[in-house]
Amino acid sequence: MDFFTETFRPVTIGARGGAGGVLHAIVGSALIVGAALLLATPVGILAGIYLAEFRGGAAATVIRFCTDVLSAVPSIVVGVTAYVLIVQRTRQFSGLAGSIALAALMVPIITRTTEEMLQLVPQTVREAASALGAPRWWATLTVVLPMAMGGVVTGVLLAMARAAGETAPLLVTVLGNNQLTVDLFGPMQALPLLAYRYTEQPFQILNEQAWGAALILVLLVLGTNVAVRVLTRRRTRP
Amino acid sequence: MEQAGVATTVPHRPIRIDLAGVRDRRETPDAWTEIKLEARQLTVAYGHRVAVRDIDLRVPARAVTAIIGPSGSGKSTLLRALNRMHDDTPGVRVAGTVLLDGQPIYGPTVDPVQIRRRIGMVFQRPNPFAMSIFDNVAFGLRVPGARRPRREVAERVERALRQAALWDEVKDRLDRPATALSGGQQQRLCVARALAVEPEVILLDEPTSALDPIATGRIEELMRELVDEHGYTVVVVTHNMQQAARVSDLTAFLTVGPDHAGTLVEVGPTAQIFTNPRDRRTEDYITGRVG
Repeated sequence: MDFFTETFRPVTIGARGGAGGVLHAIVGSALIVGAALLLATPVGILAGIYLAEFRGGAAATVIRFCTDVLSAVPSIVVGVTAYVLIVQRTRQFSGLAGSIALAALMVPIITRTTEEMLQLVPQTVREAASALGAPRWWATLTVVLPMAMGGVVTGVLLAMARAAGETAPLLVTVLGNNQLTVDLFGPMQALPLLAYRYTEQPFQILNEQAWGAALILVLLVLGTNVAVRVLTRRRTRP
Repeated sequence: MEQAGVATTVPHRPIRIDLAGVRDRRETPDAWTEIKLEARQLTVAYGHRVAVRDIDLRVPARAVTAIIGPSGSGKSTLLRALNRMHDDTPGVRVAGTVLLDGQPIYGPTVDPVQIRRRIGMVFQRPNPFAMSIFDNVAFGLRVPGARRPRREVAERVERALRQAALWDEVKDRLDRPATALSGGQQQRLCVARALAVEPEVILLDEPTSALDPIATGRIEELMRELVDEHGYTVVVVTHNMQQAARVSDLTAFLTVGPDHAGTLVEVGPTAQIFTNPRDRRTEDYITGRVG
C-alpha cells in the first residue's frame, strides 16, 4: 500500500523493507496529462471541425498535411523541440513543458478522429439545418457536433491514453523529481519517466517499483480503452 | 410487347390516369395571377454537366405546383435552386434569375440564409435532428439572427405541429427524442419544423417517397391544407404522377433534353396537363409510354 501513498525514500545498500512509493509520479502524470488534455482538446476539435465542415481551400490542405506530418513525428523529436523552445528559454525544466510536448502529440489524433466522426454525420442533416435558415457554424455546433460527440470523446480518450504512456518527451522536459509536487512550473515526476529511471537503478526494490509503475500505466490504457468501448457501444445503440 | 423487327406504330392508348381526384380549377384561372416565385432562364450545372437548362417557371401564390418528370430530368436540382440550397455544395453553378415576389434571390446583396427563412424545404427522407420533438420544431426559431422569445417559441411550435397535423399525436411527449417517431410522423415533423419559421413558400422534394401509402395520404392532405387553409405556396417534386394529379393545381413537366440536360416541356393547370397535354412528350410520359 505504501506504493500508492508514499513518495521516494532513499535506498541504502543492505537495508531491508520498503523504498517508499510512486505517489509523486501518479500525481505528476495526472497533472501533466491533464494540462496537456486542456491544451490539446480545444485545438484538436476545432481543427477537426474546420477540416470536416469547411474543407476545400488551401488552408484545409495545409492543415491536413501538417496533421499527418505531426502524427508521424517520433515523440523524442517533439520532446527535444519542446526542450529547445521552452526549457532552454525559460531555463527551467517544468511539467508544463512536458504538457505542451504531450499536447503536440495528442492534437493530430484528436483532429483526425473529430474529422472522421463529423464526416459520418449524414449530409442531409446539414441540409435540413441550412433549409431552416441556420448559418453553417450554428448548424455545426448545435446539430452536427452533438451527433458526433461519442466519437469525438473516444478520440480524446485514446489520445490521452497514448500521451499518458509517453516517456521520451518527458525525459527532456519535466526531468523527474523525487518529491511530491503540484507545481507545473518546476520539474515533476511521471509514471513512464519513473519506470524508465528506476530500471536503471542498481537496487532491486526500485526495479520492482518500475514494474509497478508500468502495471499502473497498462491498467490506465486498458481502462481507457474499455471506457471507450462502453461509450461507443452506448452511442451506436438506437 | 411487340416482336422485335416489326415496324412499330404506337397505338393511341387511352390515358389511364384516374382523374377522379384531379382538382379542376380551369374555370378560375384568376386565382393564379399572383406570381410568388419565378425562374427565368435558370440553368444549373454540376461541374461541366448541365443538370437543367433554361428553365422558365412561374409559381403562383397560394397554390400547389407539382414538378414531375422522369429520373435525371433535374426536378430536384431545379427545386433546390429555388431556395439557394446549391450554395452549400461546391462545384455547382447556377445561372439565370429566380425572383421571389419580383425580387431576385441570387443578387449579390442577398443573404441565402434569409432566403431560406422565406422559402422552407422538406426533403425526400425524414431527417429529424437527434434532439427532442419540441427542440426539432423550435430549431429555426433559435437560430442566431432569428431568435424568438421563449413564449413565442412555444406558441409557434404548437401552431406548426397543429398545421402539420401532428399535435394530437405528440403533445404529451414533446420532450421525447424525435427519432422515436414513425417515418410518417418524422416527415410531418419535418414539415412542422419548416412551418415554424413561417416561410412564405414550402418546397417539398419527393416528400413521400420513403413513406407507406397511409403516411403518404396524410402528407398529401397536409399539402392541400397548407394551401387551402393556411395560404402557403407549395412546390412539390414527385415522381408519382397520381400524386401530382391528386394534390396539385398546376403541373410542370420536365424531361431529359437532347443534350442530356433537364428541360421544362410544359406547365399548365393539372387537369389540362393530365387530360389534354399540349406537348407529345408530356402525353407519352403521363400515359406511361416512356419514363
